[in-house]
Amino acid sequence: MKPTLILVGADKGGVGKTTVSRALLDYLARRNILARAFDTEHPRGTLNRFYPQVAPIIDLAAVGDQMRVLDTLDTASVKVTIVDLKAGNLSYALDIFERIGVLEAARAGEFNMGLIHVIGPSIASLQEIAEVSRYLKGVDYTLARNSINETNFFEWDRDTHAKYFAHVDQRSEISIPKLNEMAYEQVDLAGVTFKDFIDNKATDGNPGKFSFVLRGYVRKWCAEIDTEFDRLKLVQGIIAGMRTGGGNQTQSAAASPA
Amino acid sequence: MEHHIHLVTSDQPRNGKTLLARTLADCLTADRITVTVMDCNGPQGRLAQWFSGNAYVLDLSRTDGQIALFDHILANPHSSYVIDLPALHLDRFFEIANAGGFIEETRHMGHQFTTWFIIDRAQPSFRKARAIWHETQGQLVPVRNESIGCYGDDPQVQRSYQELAQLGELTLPALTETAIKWLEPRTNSLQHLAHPPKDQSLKMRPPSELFVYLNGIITQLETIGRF
Repeated sequence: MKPTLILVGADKGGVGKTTVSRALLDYLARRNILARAFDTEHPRGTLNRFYPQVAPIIDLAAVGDQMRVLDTLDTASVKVTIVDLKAGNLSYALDIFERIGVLEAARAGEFNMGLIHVIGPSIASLQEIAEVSRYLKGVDYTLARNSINETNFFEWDRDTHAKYFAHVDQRSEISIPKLNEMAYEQVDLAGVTFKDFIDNKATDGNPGKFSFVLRGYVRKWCAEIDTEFDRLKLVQGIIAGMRTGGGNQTQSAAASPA
Repeated sequence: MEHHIHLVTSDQPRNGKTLLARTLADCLTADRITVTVMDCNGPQGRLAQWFSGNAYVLDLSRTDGQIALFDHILANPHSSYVIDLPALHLDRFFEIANAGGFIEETRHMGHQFTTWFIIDRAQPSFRKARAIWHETQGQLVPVRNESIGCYGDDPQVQRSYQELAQLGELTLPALTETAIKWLEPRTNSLQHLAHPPKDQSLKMRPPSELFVYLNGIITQLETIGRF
């Protein structure tokens, strides 16, 4: 199976990048697809807190860490790599990847590359679309709309909406459903994956004491976000690749990055 | 000892849910069964006033209210429960219950779950009762309130109504204004009726229709056997 590199990022902070990365790792784990991840929120990682075994913290500016991610895409036993980019690092990361030939390799078909660009309902967030559009050739681009509030991305103003979204023709779009605030906070406090929270499993593997109601909210939210991920060609490709036997599909999704 | 969860609800407001919930809780208490009353009419719930100390008023539109209902029951299995659920929160209750498999969990705890659904006069009420009957895998007892009327009385739906009534059915006799006024301020109304204070004045004595009402319900509950 051809390796797949998925970047999850945004230049604006607080739009839900790490939540999307966690949801994607969870989605793959529930389908028994091994994935490794890298948390670029150096030196303190949020993704790493939830996936200490799967998502080490790296510094994307360090050549050694770039090699750790990119030079192992093909050789690592785990063929799906997710990189959670820290706030403000999306354009920077794409620029580095362009300069060191990563995007060129993806365009040449050496591996599949996807970008999940998480955007919030603000002009600052939408302006990023234009900024990243020049890097998107050969990249499977997904706009993940995170409403956060009851907003609708300026759809009420057709001109404004078109102005920002017209920058990229070839794109997929998903909507990140809203998770009950109390449920979100309890998962955060517990420091476990969404799947373990639903299964009422604490970090040490023992039964947790998580609220029945809040577990229900998380289960429902995961089901909704799963429906969104199901629509993505990039994700469909990973699942199809695994089914044809080229990849690593096991009972456990815990994979230590090579 | 098996405990029970009695969910009293309907799709329509003001058709006797709180009176039925109160009657069920009174009957359980009279049988010396530990019962906790969960009044979901919060923040203005009235049911709790008759069961002080063992009653909670909850607002299911709030997450903390939902936790106070579902998590409390799961964490405290050594009690039976009467839940007074207003029509307003009926869908929300089952949405939350189904998302986490609440009824299944309570079954594992050894609780028997029964929905007492007051079927109102219009067809949608009957349809809703059928939907809840399916959702609870038949753990529903249809209730007709004689002072309101019931769509199940329509001869055309008798067969469907009987399908709903596999566990039995309950009829609430109509009460006069006088009887309701007598009940209103009193806690433990059933015990009041069974053992009225000796020095009770004529004016304070319960109307005789209340004896008929309660005896009728107790007889029906014994036939249904969900206590």
